[in-house]
Amino acid sequence: MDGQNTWRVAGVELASRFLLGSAGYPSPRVLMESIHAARPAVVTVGLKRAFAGGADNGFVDAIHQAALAVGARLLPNTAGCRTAREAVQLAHMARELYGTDWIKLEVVGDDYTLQPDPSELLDAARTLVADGFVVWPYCTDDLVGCRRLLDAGCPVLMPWGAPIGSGQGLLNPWALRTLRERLPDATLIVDAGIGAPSHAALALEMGYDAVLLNSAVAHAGDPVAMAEAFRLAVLAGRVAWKAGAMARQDFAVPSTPTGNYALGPRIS
Amino acid sequence: MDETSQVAIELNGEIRTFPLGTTLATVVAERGYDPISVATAINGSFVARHMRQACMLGQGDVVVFFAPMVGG
Repeated sequence: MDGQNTWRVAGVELASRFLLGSAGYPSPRVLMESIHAARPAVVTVGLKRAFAGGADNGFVDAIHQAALAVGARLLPNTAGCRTAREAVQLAHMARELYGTDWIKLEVVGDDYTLQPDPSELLDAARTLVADGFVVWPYCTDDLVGCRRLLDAGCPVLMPWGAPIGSGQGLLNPWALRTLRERLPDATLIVDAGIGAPSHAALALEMGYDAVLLNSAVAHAGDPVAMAEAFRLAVLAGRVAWKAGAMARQDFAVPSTPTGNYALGPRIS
Repeated sequence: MDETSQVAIELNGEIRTFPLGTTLATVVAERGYDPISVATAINGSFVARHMRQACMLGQGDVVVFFAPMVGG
C-alpha cells in the first residue's frame, strides 16, 4: 500500500495525487525523464497558434510517450484566455486535438498576478459543463466563488497557492484551510505557486486531494531529481493527512515522562 | 480573374487571397497541415474538423490554426 489511495474525477480512477505541467523544461528528454520520475496522474498540456513550418522540437511527442508509459492522462488548458468566450472556443479546440473532455479552465483577469477572473471563469465553466466538458477550474481561494463553481458542475476546484510561476508556496493557509473545512466533500487541488516539495506536502497535510505544479520541477537545477522529490513529498503529505497530525498546543508538554524523578528545583 | 471572384482572408496574421468558394479544408491542405494535427477557428469561433469541407471562406475572414504544445 503506497498510502496515497486512489481517487476519482468524473468516474475516472487516478492513482497519484501529483499532477505535473509540461512547460519550460530544458529538453524533451528531461521532460520525459521528469514525468517518469514524478509518475503523475495527470500531465497538463496547452495549445498554440500554428504557423506553417513551425515545430515544437519534439516536446509534444515526449509528453505523449511519457504519459502513456506512466499511465497519466492529459489535461489541456486554456492558458492565455481573458474572456469566457475565448476560453470556451479554445476548450473545444483542445477537445478535438487531444481527444479528451477534460479541460483545465484558465481565464485570467490581471496580467501582473495572472489572477483568475471570477466572473468570466464562472461563465465559461457553466457553458463548458453544458457542452459536456469535465471542467477543472483554476481559481482563487475565495470560498463563495468556489461554491459557485461547484454549483456550475465542476467536479474539482483548483485554488491557487500563490500566483502562477512565483514559487511562493501557500500564501494564505487560512483561506485554503477554510475551503477544506467548508467544502468537505469537494475535490480540492492546489494549483500554482508551489515552489518546493515542502509546499506540496503541506497542501496534502491540510487535506487537499492533490497538487498541480510545473515551474518548481521544470526550473529546478535538476528537474528529474526534483520530480522525484515532489513525488515523495506528495506521498508523505497524504500519508500524514490520513495518519492525523497531533493537535497544536500553546505550551510545552514533556515527551519524556520524567515525572517525580527530576533532581533540580521546580521551575515555575 | 477579377476581384469579385476572389476573397481576401487573414491566415495567422497574414493576408492571402483565394478563389471564391474556397473551403477551410482546402486552406488547411494548402498550408500543408495534416488535418488532424490542427484545430481551426474563423473569426474567433471554433470550426470542427468535420465541418471544414462545408465551411466556405468569406471576404475578411480571420482564420487561425492551433496545434498542441506544452502547458502548465
